[in-house]
Amino acid sequence: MSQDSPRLLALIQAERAHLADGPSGSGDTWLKLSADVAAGVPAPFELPWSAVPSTLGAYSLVAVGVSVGTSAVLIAAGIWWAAHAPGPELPPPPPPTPAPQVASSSTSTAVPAPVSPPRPKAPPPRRLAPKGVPPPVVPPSPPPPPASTPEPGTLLQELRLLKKAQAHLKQEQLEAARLVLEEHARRFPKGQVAEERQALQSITLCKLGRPEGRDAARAFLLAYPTSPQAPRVRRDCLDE
Amino acid sequence: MTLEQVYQDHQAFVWRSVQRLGIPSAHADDAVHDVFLVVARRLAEFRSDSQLRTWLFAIALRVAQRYRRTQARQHRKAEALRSATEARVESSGEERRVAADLLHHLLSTLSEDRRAVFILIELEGLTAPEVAEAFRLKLPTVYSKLRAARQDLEQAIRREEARAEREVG
Repeated sequence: MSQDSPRLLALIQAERAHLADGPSGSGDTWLKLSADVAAGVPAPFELPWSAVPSTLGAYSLVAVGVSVGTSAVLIAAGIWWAAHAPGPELPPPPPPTPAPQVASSSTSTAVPAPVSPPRPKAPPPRRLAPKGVPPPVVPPSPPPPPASTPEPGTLLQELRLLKKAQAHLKQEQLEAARLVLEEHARRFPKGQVAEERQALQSITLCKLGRPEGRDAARAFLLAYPTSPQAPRVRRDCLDE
Repeated sequence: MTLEQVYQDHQAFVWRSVQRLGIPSAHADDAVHDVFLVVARRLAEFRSDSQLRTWLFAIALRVAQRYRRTQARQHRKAEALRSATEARVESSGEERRVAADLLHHLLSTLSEDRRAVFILIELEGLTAPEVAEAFRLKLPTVYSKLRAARQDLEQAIRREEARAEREVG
C-alpha cells in the first residue's frame, strides 16, 4: 500500500536493509534480561494494563514508577537489591478500572489492550532466531565448570539458588540459607553471582553467630570493597 | 507462551522498533531489555499471542517516551543530522546505516501517533485494519494518519535537503 515518493522509499529500503540482520548483542541482552527476571528486578515502569485506549493519542499515559536513570541503576544492581528489597519485590498490579492518566509529555500514545484481534502478519525483513541468541532452555543436567561465556540456563540456576537462599534469610531460616549458599558455592565456585553469594554467606554466618562470619565478611570486603553489598555486610557483620 | 519464546520470536521486532521510535542504536539493546522486563511481568496475563506485536510495540513506545524525556534529544538529532548531511547514500553497509539514522531522525519529527502508524504499516508490514483494531482507531483515521505521516516525512526530507545544500554551498 506504499505510496511513498522515491526518496522516501529509498530511505525505507535502506533502513530495512540496515536493520535486517537484527541485534548483534542479543545474546548479552538475553543474559541480562533472564538474570534480571530471575532476580525479580522491577520493570522500568508500570504498564497500565487495564487502561484500554479509545484512540491513539487520545489517551495520555503516565510514567508510573522509577525514571529511566533509576531503572538503570536498579538493573545494574538488580540482583542484589531485588533480593534485599523489603516487602514485595514488584509493585502491585494496576487497578482494574481504567483510570485516565496524565502524562507530562504532550505527545502520548495509548497502550493497546493485550487481548483480541487478528494476528499481525510477519514483516518482510525478520529473523526469528538472530545469531548470538543463546538457547533459552535451561539445561537439566548439572552445570559444567564455569566458562567465560556462561549459558543463560546456568545463570538462571545460579540465580534460583541465590533467590532461594535470600528467601530463607528473610524468614530467618538461617541454617537453610547457609546450606543453599553452600550448594551454590559447590556448584558454581566462580559463578556469575559469586560476589552476591559471598556477601550472603557472610551475613548468614554472622546471623548464625558463627565466628567465621566476620572473617568471611572481611574477606568479602577485601575482595569487593566497592560492592553495592558492602554496606550491608559491614552493617550486619562488623557493626559498622 | 513463555518469555523465552516471546523474546526469541519478537526481540528483533522490538529492536527495530525502539530505534525507529528514536532510541539510538547504541542504546537499543538496553531498550529491548526494558521492554521485555515489562513483558516478563505481564506475560502471564497475556492469554493469546494475537496482537502480541502491537502490544510489544506499545511497550516500546513507552520505553522510547521515557528515553526521550531523559536523554539529550537535541544531541541525538544533531548527530543524526550531521551523519545525514555528511554522507551520500548508495548501497554499502555504512551508507545504509546513515540512511537508517536519517530516517529515524525524520521519524522523530512526527507526532507520536503518526509515527506509530507509519512504523507499523510502512516498516513492519502490518495492515491498516490490524493497526486500527489494535489501537481502537477507525480505519479511515489510520489511513489519514498514515497519509499525514508521509506528507510530514516528505516535507522533512525537503527541509533536510535544503539544509544540506546550504551547508555544502
